[in-house]
Amino acid sequence: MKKLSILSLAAGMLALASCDSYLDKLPDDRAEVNSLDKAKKFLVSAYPNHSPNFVFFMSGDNVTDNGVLYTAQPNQTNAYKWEPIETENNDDPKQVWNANYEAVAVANMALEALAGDESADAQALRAEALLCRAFAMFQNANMFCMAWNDSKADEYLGIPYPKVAGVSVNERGTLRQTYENINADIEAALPLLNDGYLTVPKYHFNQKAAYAFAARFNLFYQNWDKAIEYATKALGGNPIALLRDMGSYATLAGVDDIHNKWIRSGENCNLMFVDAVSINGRANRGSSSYKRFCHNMDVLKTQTMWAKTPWSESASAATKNALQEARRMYGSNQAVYIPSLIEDFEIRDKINQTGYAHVVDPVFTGDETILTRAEAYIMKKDYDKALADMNTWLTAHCDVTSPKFLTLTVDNVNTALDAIRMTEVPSRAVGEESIKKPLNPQGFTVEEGTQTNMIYVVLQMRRITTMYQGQRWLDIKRWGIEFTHHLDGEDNLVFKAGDLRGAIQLPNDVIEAGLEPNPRETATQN
Amino acid sequence: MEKRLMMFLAGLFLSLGMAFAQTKVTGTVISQEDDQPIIGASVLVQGQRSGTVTDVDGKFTISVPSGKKITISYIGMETQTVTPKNGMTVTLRSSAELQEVVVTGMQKTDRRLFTGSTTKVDAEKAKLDGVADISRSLEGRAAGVSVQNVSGTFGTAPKIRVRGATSIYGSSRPLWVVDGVIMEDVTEVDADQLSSGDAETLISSAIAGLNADDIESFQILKDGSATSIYGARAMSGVIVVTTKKGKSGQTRINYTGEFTMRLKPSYSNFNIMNSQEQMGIYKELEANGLISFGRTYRASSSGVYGKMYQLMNTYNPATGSFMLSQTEEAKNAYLREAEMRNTNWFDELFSNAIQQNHSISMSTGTDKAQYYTSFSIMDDPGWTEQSKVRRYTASINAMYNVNKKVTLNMIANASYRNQRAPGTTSQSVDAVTGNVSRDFDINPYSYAINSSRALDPNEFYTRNYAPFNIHNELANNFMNLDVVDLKYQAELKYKPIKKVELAVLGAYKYSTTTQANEIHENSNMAQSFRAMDDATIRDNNPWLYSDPDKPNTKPESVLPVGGFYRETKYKMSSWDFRATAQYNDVFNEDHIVNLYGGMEINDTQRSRSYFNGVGMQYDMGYLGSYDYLFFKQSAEQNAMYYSLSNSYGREVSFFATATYSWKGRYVINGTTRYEGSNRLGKSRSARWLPTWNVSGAWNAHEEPWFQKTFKTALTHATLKASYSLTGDKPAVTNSQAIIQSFNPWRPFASDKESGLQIYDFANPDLTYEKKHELNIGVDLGFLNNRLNVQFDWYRRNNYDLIGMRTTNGTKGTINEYANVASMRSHGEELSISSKNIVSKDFKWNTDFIFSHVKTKITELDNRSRLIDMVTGTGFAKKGYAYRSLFSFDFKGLNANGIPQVVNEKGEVVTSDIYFQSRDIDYLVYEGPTDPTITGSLGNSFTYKNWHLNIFATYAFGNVVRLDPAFYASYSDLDAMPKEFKNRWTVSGDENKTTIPAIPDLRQLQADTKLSYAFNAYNRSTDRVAKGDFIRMKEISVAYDFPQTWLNALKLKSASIKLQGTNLFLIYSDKKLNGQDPEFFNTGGVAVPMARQFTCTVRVGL
Repeated sequence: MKKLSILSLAAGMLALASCDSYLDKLPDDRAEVNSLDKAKKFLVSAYPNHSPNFVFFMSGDNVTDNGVLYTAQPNQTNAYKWEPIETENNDDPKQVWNANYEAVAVANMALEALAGDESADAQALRAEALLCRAFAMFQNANMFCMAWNDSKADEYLGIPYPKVAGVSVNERGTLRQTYENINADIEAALPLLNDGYLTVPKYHFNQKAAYAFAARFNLFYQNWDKAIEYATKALGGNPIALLRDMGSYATLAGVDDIHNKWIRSGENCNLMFVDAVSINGRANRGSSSYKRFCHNMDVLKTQTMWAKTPWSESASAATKNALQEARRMYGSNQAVYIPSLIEDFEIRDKINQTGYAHVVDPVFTGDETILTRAEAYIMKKDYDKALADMNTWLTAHCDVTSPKFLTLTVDNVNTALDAIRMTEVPSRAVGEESIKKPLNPQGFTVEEGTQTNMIYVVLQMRRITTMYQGQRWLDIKRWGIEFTHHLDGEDNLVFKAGDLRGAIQLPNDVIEAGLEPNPRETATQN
Repeated sequence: MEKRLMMFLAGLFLSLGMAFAQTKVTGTVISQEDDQPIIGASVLVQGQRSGTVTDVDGKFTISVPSGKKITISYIGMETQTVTPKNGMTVTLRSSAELQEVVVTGMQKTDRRLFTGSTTKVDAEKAKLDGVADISRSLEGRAAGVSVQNVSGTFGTAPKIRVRGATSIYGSSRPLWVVDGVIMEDVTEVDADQLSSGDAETLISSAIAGLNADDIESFQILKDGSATSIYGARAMSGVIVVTTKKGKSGQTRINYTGEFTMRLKPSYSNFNIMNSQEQMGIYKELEANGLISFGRTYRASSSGVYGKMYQLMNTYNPATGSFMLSQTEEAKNAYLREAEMRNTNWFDELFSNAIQQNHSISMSTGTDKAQYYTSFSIMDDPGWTEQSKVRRYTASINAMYNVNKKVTLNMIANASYRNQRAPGTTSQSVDAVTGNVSRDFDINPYSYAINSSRALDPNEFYTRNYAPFNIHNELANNFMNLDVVDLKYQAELKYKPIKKVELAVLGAYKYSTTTQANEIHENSNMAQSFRAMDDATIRDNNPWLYSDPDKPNTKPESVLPVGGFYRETKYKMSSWDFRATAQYNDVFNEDHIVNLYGGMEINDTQRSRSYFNGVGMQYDMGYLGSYDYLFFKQSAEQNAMYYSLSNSYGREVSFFATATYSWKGRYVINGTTRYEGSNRLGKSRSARWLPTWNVSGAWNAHEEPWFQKTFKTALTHATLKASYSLTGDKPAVTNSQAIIQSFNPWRPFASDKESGLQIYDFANPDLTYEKKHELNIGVDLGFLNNRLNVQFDWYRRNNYDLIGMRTTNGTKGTINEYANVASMRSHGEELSISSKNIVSKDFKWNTDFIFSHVKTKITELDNRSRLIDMVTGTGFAKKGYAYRSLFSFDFKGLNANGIPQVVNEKGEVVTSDIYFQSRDIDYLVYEGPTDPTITGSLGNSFTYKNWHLNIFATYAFGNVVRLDPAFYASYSDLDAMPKEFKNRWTVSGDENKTTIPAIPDLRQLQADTKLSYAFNAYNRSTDRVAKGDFIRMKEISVAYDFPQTWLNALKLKSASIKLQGTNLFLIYSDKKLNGQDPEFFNTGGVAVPMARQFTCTVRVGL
């Protein structure tokens, strides 16, 4: 027997080796990314399905306080007060952080699967994966880091930038490192682009979207030349064809129809969509649970669609405001909205009518890209080209038959802007604010006079174009725009230039897991 | 026993001459009880010291001086002194309740040499006649085994726990081993899903295909020592089932017929308003504006009032008037009729029809070959409407002795089951409002207790905007289950030399289940897909479809004709192969050695497919007819009309066990198993788990001084201790990233594409969940073993359990499952069996079983939402028992009669509650949802040919959530509990009652989230009861026909038995008001265990 057991043990040890391969069988039909086609399918999930837009919108100056009579959700209040958000809802920092790193993980796994394959198809997929990684990290950097500021980029914290699948990165690094990483990925990807393989190009980094992304990144990175170069590549020779024809929305019946058209992939202005599970579409429309902090009539009249601008006399009347958007506003005094990024509801349980609230965000549009180029031209003081772009935007967005429609020139911009009062900070009331708020560019300078005035106009155009897309908050951070958040029954809050609260605090779990939290100035906390 | 000890003593003092002539005698010792050989019985020449011990086959060879007798003794058996004869067979009779052989499924071990904690349950004794699923009969039969009948529907598994839960996310289900072969589940249903009432639970019982009459015994292996041979699969205990075998020299034909009548539930046991009381409430609802023509006529669901309004609005051209005239009198007459109706829904939906079970077995054999064959048919016409079951089983067990060295055993089992069940969809919990619901639920039991008694059972009312009648719906919306289970196994044993046995076993199992949900065109479910009688309904009916590509159009039906044919198929096929070697020896008469080792390979494949046949026209010869819109909508909503998924399990293991005993007094045992599974990480450390056990036993009664000291007062004493490591595969399989295909949601079908996504990130370190267990046990036999006491104490440390881990998220996810949680448990088990009276004509036996288990989660990062903690089975939280129930802190009613609870901010609120919150610290701990104390008390009396058996089970220590009964708004369909009489009605009542008001229209409009307040109240401290109960499980009277009658009829045996099962609760919390504390009323296919009477006829030829 002893001999037997020794024999069987020996046989067992031998068997072990073969057993290991017997046990390598996967326990289910999970896919393995082992072909170009699968890599391509895998990249469908390399786009984050949570969006920072809700936090960005509530943090910025597009919203104000309707008063304590209206309900606000905890995360909404936190964002409005620039406080750390500890809830874990779909729009909260934890979900955004998670979704962006999930996208990066997918991109990294796809890159791993593509490694070594230099075929043209593989290169195109590699480009998409790199752009997905860069985009997700750019989204996270926008949310959790300070705006780019060359003089402070070594001091500001960055975010971990994983480049290897399945490996945690436990250091945040500096903002400079983060931007260098994003830049490297974009630069590596752009030469490899090829739209040929995309079946649903508008939900992927097609060429135009890729260049629009590169343009936006370089604008934020303050590389004006590159911003112009890439925006031009995105827009092509006839930019107006890639702008939203706002006039065509005038004939539509109502909210749903406008919204449905807005997010159609057939609309040429939409360069790329990213869908997010988000309550933002509901909050923006002034759902009763979110009605306290909204884009209300006061903001509309003083700072957004109805604000006094070169094309508007602070009124909705068609004769006094050439802007098409000004005539597409719906809602109530407390929450007035344009039905662009409203909610699409995915019903999972029909009886209870529950499911997921989605917001489909055209993250890159021709409209935003042309304004990116215009802003870069202004920074280069190439006002003619800037004005050309701004006028293209006006043609698309205004009723050209309106008496207020105009073609912008340096002179009429200066005249119009000089006539607009500078907003005091803190302001006494939203009603006393205007489109002009103190600018303190972060890490660069802008001249008084024409350059500043031109910037005010282009920033206003951006604010209108990207109403629910979070870009206003990023412009506030980049330009060091100081503004006031009023609070019913409490002291007003002021957001200062270079305010550290511009970098949203990391999710609690992530801090607990050992990442360095964003610093806060104790003085501004209160 | 005495004699044997005497002999030992004698042997010590007597020196014996060897002067006589010697004859060599060979013989076999078998047990009378089961005709099995007795291993290790001592055979001594009378008056001499010399002797021998029987081998694994019960064989002995001894040299006997002529004229001397030999004495054969064995623990627990009556010693016999016989005249030696070559080739003799000595049959020993049991002297006590002690069992001599422990069957571990792999090995048979002499009980004296077994160091683990185990209980053997005789199927004949435990069997609950009329309960076709034998696993239910284990309730209260073994200490440490709890059986909770969360649903009584045939095919659903009871929640069985051996010594409590062992895993937080895993199923904690014991391993079933039938005739040495591990039974794999067709589908993995975890502990929480068992109580969900979902259709999948109908095939959750691994042994529903076994005929109860074929089972010989259960051996429940509890501690690590007993289970360690199964090592990495045995963390939650093992239940070994041994089926009947043929016996040599006997030919028997047995017939068993069971006839079972189940009682209908009665309103007297429930707390439901009669129609008069109910109409009173409706009138009040009407007065408050909650029932009105405007609200109710077009409501999605309505009852008496809705019908009345519809009649008032329907013009009958034949009579030239409205169906009901618009007068106060006509209205009152109509309502008075409803008031007097008092419909008995239990009578309507339940039946006393007799369930029958017929089973015939044949057993025969010679020395060369033994056979056992059986057939059975179980026919259940259904306790509730649409719940028919018919099951056929066949089994054959053939044993062939090829020659002295080789035996071959072949077993085949087949069963087929055809079952009907009410149609059901899966249950869902709405995390937003805290509502647990099931679309189109037509479970007869839950319908009966939730439907107003004012409804006419033959009338169609409205549900989901379409006509609804429960009888019609059950006839038109049902499930057909076809279950086939097959098992073939063969075992070849070879004994090259006496002491060695080599064996190979191969088994193949195949199981397939087709679950077809037929939803006919006349069913309410199909009709609601096309209910659009008027514009209001058309706009509101959620089952209609608005095409996003067609702005400004009315919703339309995606099912203009026909119904659905939804088919789910489960398939499982598995292979087992095992090779073992055993060595038994006794050296110098005192040193008993047993070595056993081998290897095992398993391969299991499962598949599950789903298909939804849309637009099936049953009345048109099953013609299919679909509208493309259904698929367009499905595409937009990401719903699939078909699916297929496969899973593969592969396991390899090596095991060995060694036992050494000195004179049977001292035993030490060690076991090790090395197991690998394909479900775990690629690295050796994660994939392969070595498990082990060390244990020892001291049979004190074998000591020479023992009998002298205790005489007959204490006749048996064994002390055992074991320490072990066992494990189980975790519930997750993400050792490699799980990448699945998906269809991302897109607003327009034209933007659809399919992709791959990460379902679970890779955790290359994923490994087994593990358990260390220390067990100390003592077995005592008093008064010649008339009184036997068995006590075990254990402490368990479960670690490497699956739990949530928080990371910085840069790998792709912040929260992931990993082996990070741990749990401790400890418990005590006591079994006392006593033969109170033993006389020729009268016998009285008492069995008392008590077990206590306490679990505590010691490490767990809780990521549960609030809603998970307060519903049904609760959830795990660090510092508390496995599955604890928590409640909202109820703070009385407010001045308007609306319930108030404390919310996450510490405020006393009505509806300002966030059910998805992960902040759960403010909830009130209620207690565990699994009982901590379980057991039974059984008394059996035998007088001549009469047997009386009274068996009660009990469970204590857990809490249960009362069925939700309170809502913000009620319709004229709802049945209400009688508590409603004491509800808040006028200001000031809040000081007297905790029963909330029925909110009026103004309150409902003022607070759109008012339903949150009621959902919170239903899950508050006010709505929880103790789960404690004592149940009269069984009372039975049996009569064995006397031999004289039988001889006349040429029968070998015949008996008749009357048995009442689940008769009543002797004790339960008053707050339960008729709610069964074991049963989870979740709708779907769940019904409680019936109160039933069974007549059993047994005839032996």
